[in-house]
Amino acid sequence: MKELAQLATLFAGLSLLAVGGGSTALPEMQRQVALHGWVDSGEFCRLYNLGQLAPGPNTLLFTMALGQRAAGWVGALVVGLAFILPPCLLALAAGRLWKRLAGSRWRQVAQDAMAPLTVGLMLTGTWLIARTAVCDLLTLALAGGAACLLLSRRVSPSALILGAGALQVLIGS
Amino acid sequence: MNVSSSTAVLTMRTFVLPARATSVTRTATRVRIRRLPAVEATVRLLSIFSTFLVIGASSFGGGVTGHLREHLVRRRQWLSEDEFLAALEISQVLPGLNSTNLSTVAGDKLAGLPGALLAVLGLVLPGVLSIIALGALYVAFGTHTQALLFLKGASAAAVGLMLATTLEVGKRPMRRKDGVVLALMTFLLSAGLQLTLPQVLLVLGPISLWWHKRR
Repeated sequence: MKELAQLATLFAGLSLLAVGGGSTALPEMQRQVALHGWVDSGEFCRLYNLGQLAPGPNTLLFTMALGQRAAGWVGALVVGLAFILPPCLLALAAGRLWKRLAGSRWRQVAQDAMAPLTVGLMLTGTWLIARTAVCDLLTLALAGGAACLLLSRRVSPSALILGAGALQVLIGS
Repeated sequence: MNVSSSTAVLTMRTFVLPARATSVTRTATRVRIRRLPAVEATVRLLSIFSTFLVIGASSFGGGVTGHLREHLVRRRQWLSEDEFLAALEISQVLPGLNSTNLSTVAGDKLAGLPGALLAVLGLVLPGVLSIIALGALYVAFGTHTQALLFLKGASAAAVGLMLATTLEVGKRPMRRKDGVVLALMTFLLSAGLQLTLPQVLLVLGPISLWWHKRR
């Protein structure tokens, strides 16, 4: 019970530390779970890769895998809720506040001012993933081909992702 | 006696029928007014849940934002480009994962708190189930080369998806030269100089605000 409470407070805190994407909280997460003796650094990396294999919000799924190792399936549930609830409640409140400000000039200015920054941040996110995901000619071709096909709207993203995965399995290496 | 009673019934009917008919239509409209919103709301919640379930199940290798945009803006047309961009801005600035933040804001906009709950649940559920399945496979077989190969291809395509999404979301803000400059400066500060998000916002936020206020 004490362990579950520790997990909940740790991951609730980490969730608020994850400013600018989940990956920003990973170093502190790795340190803390090792400090508590829940998961060592080798297991941390193995579980991270396991989380990457699953569809959806990988970082959340990865934290749940950490919780599972630390305190079983109840631990996974506790960690998942602790990691997701604080930011989601903030987002809920912010979204509603934003809705209430509809029509205000300052809201429009703030929104327009944030837009190019958002685009830049998305570009950074793409770049960070690309550095590890694009590692040879085939992955470069898959990434480039995917972008072109999507921009010309000839294919749905999910079909493309599944197709690219299947192609890589067929080709191997 | 028999005949007269049947005519009595007949005349009764002729008098009663129109009245009954109106009462039937009245109850019908009342039913429509009272019940259909509940049915509609349930259908809406179910379609929100199923849509996010599909997004959660198909977004391998990252790029969840791109999948969200495909479904919410293009296919369902639940959000306009502008609304999606606004929700994305909120999700990025706040702590937490972009995808779950964005799903919360979108779900809340579509159907309030239940909508937000079902959106996040739908997004997460397929991943949770596959983590359970993968964990069992992992224990049974150790490393799984086929799965890692699949992930390699899927992640590469997800990079393409993220790039395409960035360009599409950026179409409107990048129409002006200062938009392009600000986006590139953001990229340089965060990817090149590796500033954190609060630092980037602190440096470029005031500049961008000042730029846009003058318009």
